[in-house]
Amino acid sequence: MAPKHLSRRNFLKTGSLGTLAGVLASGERIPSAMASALETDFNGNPFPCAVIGFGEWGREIAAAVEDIEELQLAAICDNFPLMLRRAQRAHPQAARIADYREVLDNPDIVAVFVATATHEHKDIVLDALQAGKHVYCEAPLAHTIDDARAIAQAGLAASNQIFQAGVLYRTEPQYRSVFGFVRSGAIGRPAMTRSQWHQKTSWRRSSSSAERARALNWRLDQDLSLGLIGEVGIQQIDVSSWVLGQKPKAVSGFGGIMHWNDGRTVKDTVQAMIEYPGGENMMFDATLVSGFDAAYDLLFGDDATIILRDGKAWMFKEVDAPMLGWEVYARKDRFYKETGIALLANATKLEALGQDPAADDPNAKPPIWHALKAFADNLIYGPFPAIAGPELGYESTVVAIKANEAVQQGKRVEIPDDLYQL
Amino acid sequence: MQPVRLAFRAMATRFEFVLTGSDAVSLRAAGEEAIREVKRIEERFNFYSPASELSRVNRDAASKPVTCSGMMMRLLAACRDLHKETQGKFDPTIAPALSAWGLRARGDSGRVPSPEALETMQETIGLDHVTTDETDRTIRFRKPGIQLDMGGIAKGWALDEARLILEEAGVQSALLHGGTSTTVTIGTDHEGSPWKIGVEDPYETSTSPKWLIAVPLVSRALSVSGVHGKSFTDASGKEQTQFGHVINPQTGRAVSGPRLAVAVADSAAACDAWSTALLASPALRLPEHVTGTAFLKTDSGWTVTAGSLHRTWTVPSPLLTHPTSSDD
Repeated sequence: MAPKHLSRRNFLKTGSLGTLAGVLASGERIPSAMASALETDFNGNPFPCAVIGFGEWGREIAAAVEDIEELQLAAICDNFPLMLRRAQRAHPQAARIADYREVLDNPDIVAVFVATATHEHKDIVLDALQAGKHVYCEAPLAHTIDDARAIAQAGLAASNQIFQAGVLYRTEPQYRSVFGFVRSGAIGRPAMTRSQWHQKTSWRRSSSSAERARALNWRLDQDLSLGLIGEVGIQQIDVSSWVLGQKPKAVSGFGGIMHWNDGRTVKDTVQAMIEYPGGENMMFDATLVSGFDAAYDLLFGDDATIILRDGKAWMFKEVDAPMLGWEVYARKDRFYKETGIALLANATKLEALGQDPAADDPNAKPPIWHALKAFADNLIYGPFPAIAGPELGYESTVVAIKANEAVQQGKRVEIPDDLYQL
Repeated sequence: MQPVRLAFRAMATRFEFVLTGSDAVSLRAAGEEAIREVKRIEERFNFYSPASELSRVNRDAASKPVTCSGMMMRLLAACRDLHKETQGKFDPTIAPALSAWGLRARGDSGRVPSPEALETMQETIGLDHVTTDETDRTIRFRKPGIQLDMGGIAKGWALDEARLILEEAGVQSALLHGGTSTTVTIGTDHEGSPWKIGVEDPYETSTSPKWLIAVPLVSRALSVSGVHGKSFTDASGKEQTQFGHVINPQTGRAVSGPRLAVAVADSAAACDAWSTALLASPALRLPEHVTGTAFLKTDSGWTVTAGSLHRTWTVPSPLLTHPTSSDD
């Protein structure tokens, strides 16, 4: 397995920087015709990578890595022996390593995916970048502004390395497709957004060791965790900010421990109103108490409203909205008394491949897969500035930290513009 | 000590976990993690979801080697071991046979396939048509038409994985079941007694269950297979015959009833495979690690057709005639 030496030379030589950067920024996979026109050192051998942190999310990342042909899951790192035993069961081909420094010392490993507890990201990411590794760091980047800034600045400084933040929907095809619809004016002028995330679960982790159980349950500790709004809501708030093209200026938060009164200090039910400079507001709520209606995102405009849920999207037109040329051909689904126009990412491509766009997509992948695929494409053809690069990772983390502050204190918290500056 | 109960739907059935111990908060957390694992397994091995890993294998493996997850390779290796152990009576490639018998798709009401259809179908059954490369982690089918269906083992496999997660979390007493047909236990119940699992007469129509046998389990698993459930009655011959969703892979014929098979072993996956195999071929010789019995219902009640009742099993009602027992 020959590790790839990356350099900007790879695509500067092609003379089509603008076109290629556009394709990559769109999050689409590289068309084969364009890929063949590129020069790259990639010789078909997958890139040896390591996942650092094999908790719940680390396992999802490892599964996605295993499902991307350009990546090789060479090592799994966790300082808890139990997690390494699980790694052995799920990924017997990967080396199991307890100390992340050993991963960084391995010259064969090209990239690391950091999925440890949020407050443990900083040292690992800084050391990994220092060691010359490409880095994917889960979002939020950190639990404090200082740590998040340090991570993002290190990512920016490592200009010949990839740094990608785990801001997932920026690379997810359905969301990207909807982003295009909204930006083309399909919903008219955006008025507001609303998102929810509901699950009936304790959010607690269990271990036979009390000491380990405390470490595993960092999410329930307000000193280490950004709570539901910061650890989970960060993704949906980013969708709102992305679609509106603005950064939040203030957050009003509310919440309480409504059910899981088990010693935790973070709220199990939260609501927040996120204010944008343009006057639009986002309403967000999340709970661990009820699974009713699960998770979705709503984008309201004066011509139409779009709902995104379960990797699918529909648009609901206002009766006075102008007719869009394509909508007569689009599939329509009934929702109680409303009719939604199905917005299908890659519908024409599916038809071209002889697949029914209305059927479940046999190639459907979770958002984390698309995020890591973008990372892999960057390894092959880059490094380019990642779609979810250090700046975006930092900005979304700032919002997460401030939103959590608002929820924990039950007040309105302003986010001054200069806080977004690195 | 109040047991913690968790229930959820997966694999087209209801799963239930009963966990006992002194720390309810910790038990629930462990149970939730085990549930997530079962759901992950369901997603990966869902025969009907076009986006599942199993569907990708079924779609592409006849034309090229398909790179698979470590979990897929591990499950297929377990299938191969059980296929060998059951002398081919457990086989995860029987999907085409179930389709031919009209026992696969939702809404199918069942039919007896023609001899020609049976013959054609037999050409696509057999785990030998599935090759694996452990180094490259690839699966390849030797010819088109092969379909892997983990339905005969996935429930037990998922329960085994769930048990492992619970044990790792320090749970020392639990009962887990999937659709009541596959059960796995950890330790004893909260009073220190073995978990007692009743196998009921599926043909009994009265509201109160009639127990055929009761099986005590301590850190072991049990699975029941029967001709009831997804089945149909064929009246084209001299007598009405009930055919069930278990197929003998070597003849391609659906097992006719009324029959039941019970298997007890350490692993729920092994129990699933063995109860299916025993139903298809009651005369199979059981390995040391499996206790199993096949039953047939006659006019005079249930009778043991193969294997024997273990000495620890009890017969709570006179439904079962001529019981014999063994110390195996």
